[in-house]
Amino acid sequence: MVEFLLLGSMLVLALLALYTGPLRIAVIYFSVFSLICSFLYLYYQAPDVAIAEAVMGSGLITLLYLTALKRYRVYSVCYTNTDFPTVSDREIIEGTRKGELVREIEDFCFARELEPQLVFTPQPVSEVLQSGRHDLIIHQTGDKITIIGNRENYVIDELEMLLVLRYQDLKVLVERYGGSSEYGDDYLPEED
Amino acid sequence: MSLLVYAMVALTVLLIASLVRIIIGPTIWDRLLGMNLVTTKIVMAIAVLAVLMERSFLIDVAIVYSLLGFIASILIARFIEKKGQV
Repeated sequence: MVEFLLLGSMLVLALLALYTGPLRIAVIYFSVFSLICSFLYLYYQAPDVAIAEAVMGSGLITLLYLTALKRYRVYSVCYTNTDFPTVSDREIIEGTRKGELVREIEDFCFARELEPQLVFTPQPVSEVLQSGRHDLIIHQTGDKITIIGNRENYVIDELEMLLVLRYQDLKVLVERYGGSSEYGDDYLPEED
Repeated sequence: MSLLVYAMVALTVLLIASLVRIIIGPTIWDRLLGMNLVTTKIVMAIAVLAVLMERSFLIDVAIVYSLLGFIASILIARFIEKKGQV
């Protein structure tokens, strides 16, 4: 009775850990999974295996995954400008403060161990958003600059603070979208 | 003897109830709380199992588990609170 209930819940937890998008939550599922797993080892009279499983699964693996989540992947920044038919690198950097802004964002990413990858495109924002490949979109129309990012991205809050402090003269607007993203690169989802 | 078996079944049912909280929990803090609950249930179940199987060293295992559960929840809570820094 007990073992069947536990085995069933282990199955559910394993599937959830596999198919949950937000990775923090998957870590919690996995941690609980390995706890129940080690209890079942005890139940089947293998206490030494159970202790090893508990130490690894609950302690070490959780720590390891959380550290791996922290230092993560390439951060892709997309710069769109619909005013010019073709936007080149030079055209932006030329424009004094805006060039500074872009460079500032790059430095900002480096400081957080994210590797910024700047992409320039003349596509409209909606297309870029739909492609879903970029973590941060800087959109410029005329003088107005809008920075668009996923609501679940912690980086954007810090970036907004920086922009408010240093770039008051530019009309910078920060927009957020989305609840949970469906592609696998959600860094730290879910609002508190 | 059979009382212990009943206790075991009750603990399992409670464990599954906490699992439901982990699965449906709207925020990550609910899930963290559920994880903590599962850890305590497992520790209690191990203590019951130790009496059932008459092996006293299982109590030591229970102590190790409670320490580990504590460490794991502290780690995850710190990770979420500090926004990505352990």
